[in-house]
Amino acid sequence: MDEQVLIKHCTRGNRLAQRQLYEMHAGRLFAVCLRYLQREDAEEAHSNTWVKVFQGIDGFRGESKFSTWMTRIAVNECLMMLRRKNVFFSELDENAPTLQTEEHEESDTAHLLHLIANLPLGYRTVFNLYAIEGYSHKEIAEMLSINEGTSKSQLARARGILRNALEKNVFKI
Amino acid sequence: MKRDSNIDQYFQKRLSDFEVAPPPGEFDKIVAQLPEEKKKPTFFWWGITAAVLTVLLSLPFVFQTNEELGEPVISNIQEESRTLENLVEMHENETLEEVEGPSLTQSDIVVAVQETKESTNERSEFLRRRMQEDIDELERMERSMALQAHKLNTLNELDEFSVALAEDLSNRLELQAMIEQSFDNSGIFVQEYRKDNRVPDVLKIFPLEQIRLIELSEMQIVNRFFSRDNNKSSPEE
Repeated sequence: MDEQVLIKHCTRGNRLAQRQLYEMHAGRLFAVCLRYLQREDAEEAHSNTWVKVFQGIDGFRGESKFSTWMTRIAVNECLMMLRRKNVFFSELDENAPTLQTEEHEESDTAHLLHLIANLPLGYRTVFNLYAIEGYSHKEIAEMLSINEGTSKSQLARARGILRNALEKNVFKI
Repeated sequence: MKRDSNIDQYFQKRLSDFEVAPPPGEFDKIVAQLPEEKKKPTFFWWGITAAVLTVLLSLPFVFQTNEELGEPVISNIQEESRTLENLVEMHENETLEEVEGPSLTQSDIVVAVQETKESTNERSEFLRRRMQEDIDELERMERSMALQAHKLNTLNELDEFSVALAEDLSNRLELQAMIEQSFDNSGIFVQEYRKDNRVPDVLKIFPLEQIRLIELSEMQIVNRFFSRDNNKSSPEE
């Protein structure tokens, strides 16, 4: 069924339409959550995201793509969860770890997700928001209540760690 | 700088559409947190529409009752009530007059009751007799009508039968005359008939039942014909 039709039915609370919409987008949204949070927290954030999607679907005006709208909700939910855990993004981890670069059996993309998941929290969050979600440093600074300089430096450190990991692991960038 | 951009693009390209299967049964948990499914308010709106239509359609009757019928109805009711009051007054006066008449003794009442009873019995007996007479009369009429109808039917049937007989007789006579005529004209007819053993053309205009009759008559005629021939030939011999 067409996504617009599904959305229309979801505004009336149609369970069948909600399930179809969930099956269409759940995998991608859960991967978004896993980029920001550990699995247990990601599951909770993902579940909360869908509740908010269905409750707020009336407010979707179609100005952006529906997937973009849902991703924004998922990212906000992940950030809220991190705030609830009293994470302060302004703190830089000076002792940035070296990522594990052992031989891996999983697919390339799954391994990339694994690399991001093993980044320090601040680096991971800024890298996700800037490199993958496409937010500017100004927006990231507002979202994480940090200054732009902190955002930039965390991004630079994240990139350095990931590059090293990839070079050691024969990934061609 | 370019290397930074490359690593960003590399991760974005690979991860933006990457999917990981969510935990099983998650949807049911999500649904449990959602409010109940909204029902279509179809019946509600139909109900509202029906109520509004009913009110709109009944408005003319309401106004007609108030404006056109209001005054006459009230005046009619007032007039009727006055008539009733008059009637009640008259009845009361009559009753008073009756009550104010000569007083009755117990024996008078007994006699009156006895008389009433007797007259009622007589009346009822009279009515019963009249009723019985009427019933008898009706039964007689019914029987007479049935007999009449039966007679008529019989007469009709007799008429039809006599007509049929007359027709049959005339047919027979006509046929016999034709055959006799044929035989008188030629003695070859019988010989041909016997030889071919078929129905002669002259008889084909008649239906099968009549042909059987003709055959019977024919035998008599043939007999007569031969007897005539014999009679004719005998003097020569």
